[in-house]
Amino acid sequence: MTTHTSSAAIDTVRNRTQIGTVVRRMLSIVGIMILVIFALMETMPFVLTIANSFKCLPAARDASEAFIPVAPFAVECRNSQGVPFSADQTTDGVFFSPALEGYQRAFQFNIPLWFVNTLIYAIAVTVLRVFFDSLAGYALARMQFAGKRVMFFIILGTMMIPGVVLLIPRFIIMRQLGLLNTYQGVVLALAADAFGVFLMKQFFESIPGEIEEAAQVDGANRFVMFFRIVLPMATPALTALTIFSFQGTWNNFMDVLIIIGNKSELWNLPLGLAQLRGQFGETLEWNTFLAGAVITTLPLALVFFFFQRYFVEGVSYSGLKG
Amino acid sequence: MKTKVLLTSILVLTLVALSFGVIQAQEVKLTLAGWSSNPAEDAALQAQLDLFTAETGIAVEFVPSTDHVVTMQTAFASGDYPEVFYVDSSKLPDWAEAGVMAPGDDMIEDQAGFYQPLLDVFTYDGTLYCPPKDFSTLALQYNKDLFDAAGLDYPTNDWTWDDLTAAAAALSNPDEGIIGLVLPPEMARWLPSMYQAGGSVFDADGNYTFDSEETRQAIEFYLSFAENGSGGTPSAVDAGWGGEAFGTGRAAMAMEGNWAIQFLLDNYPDLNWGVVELPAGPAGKATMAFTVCYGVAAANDYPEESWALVNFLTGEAGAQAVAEASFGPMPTRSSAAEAYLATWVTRAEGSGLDPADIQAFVAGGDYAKRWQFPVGWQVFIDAFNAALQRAFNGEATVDDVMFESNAAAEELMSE
Repeated sequence: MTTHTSSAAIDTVRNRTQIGTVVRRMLSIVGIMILVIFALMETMPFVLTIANSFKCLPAARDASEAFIPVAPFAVECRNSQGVPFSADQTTDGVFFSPALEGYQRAFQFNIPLWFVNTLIYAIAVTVLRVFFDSLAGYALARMQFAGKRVMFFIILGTMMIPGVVLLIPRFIIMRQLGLLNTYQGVVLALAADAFGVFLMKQFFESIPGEIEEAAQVDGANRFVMFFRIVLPMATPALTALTIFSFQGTWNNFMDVLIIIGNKSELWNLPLGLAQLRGQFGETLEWNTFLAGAVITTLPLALVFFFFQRYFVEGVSYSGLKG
Repeated sequence: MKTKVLLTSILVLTLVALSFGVIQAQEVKLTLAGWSSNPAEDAALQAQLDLFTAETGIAVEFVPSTDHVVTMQTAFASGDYPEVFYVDSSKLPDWAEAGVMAPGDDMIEDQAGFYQPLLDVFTYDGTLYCPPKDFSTLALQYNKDLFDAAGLDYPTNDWTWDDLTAAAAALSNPDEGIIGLVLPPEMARWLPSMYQAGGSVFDADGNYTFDSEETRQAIEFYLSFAENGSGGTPSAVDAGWGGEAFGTGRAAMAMEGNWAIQFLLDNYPDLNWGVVELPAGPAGKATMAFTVCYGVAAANDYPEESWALVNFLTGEAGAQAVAEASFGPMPTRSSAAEAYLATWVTRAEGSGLDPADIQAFVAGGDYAKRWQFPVGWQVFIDAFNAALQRAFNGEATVDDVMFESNAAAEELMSE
């Protein structure tokens, strides 16, 4: 009798734990499925961008959802008379034969030059920003001078002003300086930014002052202290600043449009991309436009891929994204 | 240590790079500002410019912009703007009024060869400002397969509003999501109906005449397709614009312009389609001319060279070049119309379009109305478009459209 009851009790307990396991397993499956759905929502646009950039125009129109490339590769989109093949000759709705028409057409525009320009702007702006922002940040963090607090609040204040408000004044100043439609106009306008100064100041303040005092005892002056001791210690903040500046300048459209909108040989990739869209956007050639988008995104995506760790560190350090 | 040297050299190089570009060569060089249509057309324009430089020794640089109007207006504000620039017909009053364009009455050569309606478009306050570069008109595109399936005869150039209404009703097929006629809720597509009905926005003396029975009739006509389900907006058939709705086969007819031709040939090669002139209304035929001219800057160091360039580009040889290279817009001289049609014979080969149909766009050049409003009247267009959009959704009536447009116009006139 007793054994019977106890074994029944054990059964219930066993059943209960079994139910618990099943429920837990179900929950984790549901959780994973939710994550998969969100992951797909994030990645599908990118996958479709790349897939459609490799399609012929009729295929991009008729079967924009086809995303699995199959042989034959690098097919022609038009016959010898220049008449485009119909959509079902290059796609069946899921699979498609990749073509290079979009890239060929994109390269009829000045893409290599725009690419080089983008690189020049991104590198020059990043180098100057890291240099000036860390100097300014150090001065605000460590040195004593009249008007220091006021100056810091003015710098912070510029962060509070919406960027669009500054477009016209910036244009007018650039015109008065004769820097419109020049490389240096873009680079100078973006050479220092309040966010970077703030970021560096906060970081320098977290470095103990004793280290510098010790260096001072050893006979180091301000610049030696800054370049030899403080700056190497600020690597995490410098990395974050470098990544943000590079990414921000690479994608910058508005400032570049205002300063060099008139001169196509100075354009960067985002401006060039707007050109691929066509004047009224109606006769947009999807494969060409998306090929341009891939060319614009790919270098940055690669940078992100290889420096992922620093990106995440940078974001967690600065508490900011983008 | 190595990294330090590297960083220093990068910094120095950057500063050196900054100081470049300060020295600029001084030479007689014209700047032509406009927008780029596609690489082939740009190449043809560049060839023309090279020819001009070879003949006259004047260098010309073509500068395309991503947003021409914004770019030009900032350049005007700065006082330093290109010698020659594209002027869209809708912008002529603003820019002529602002005094940034030099008058062209005495400078434009061989004016008789242009289509007269186009010269009228670029005449403001009795002054001809600039010679038209190229133009597009609206015509009726129809899907031959859908007409065959419905057992209807193809449209002709003699069609009237009644024919259009009857065909649209017969072609629409709600079960398959097909509408008879796609109608963008925009003034630029509706205005032909107004002129076909005999209405106008202004009379010859510039008096406001929009508030008329004819205008009301045209709005009723345009909305009637949406009300009985035989027509709808592009978004009603999941398309971004009329050409796309027509290309996907979900609209049996569309009323788009020359820009749709190459788009449809490239994107929908299987489409069997034709083009006829827009159907005539109670007051006869009408269509819209969307056109661009070459404006010459008023503040200009090289006025004579600028006019020489403009005359070169719009002259007889220039019109022929447009005819051969254009992927849409037509040459502005009737003498080049044949060459334009001949270009399409080769381009449309193997497609479902009979290139002879493109004549329908050319024919519109004789009776096209201008797409142009006085300075500041964008407000009126916006008010009309907003009301028309709501009317398409069934949230407004013809009375509302009339009332709101008139209210906007009255406010503009009282200023």
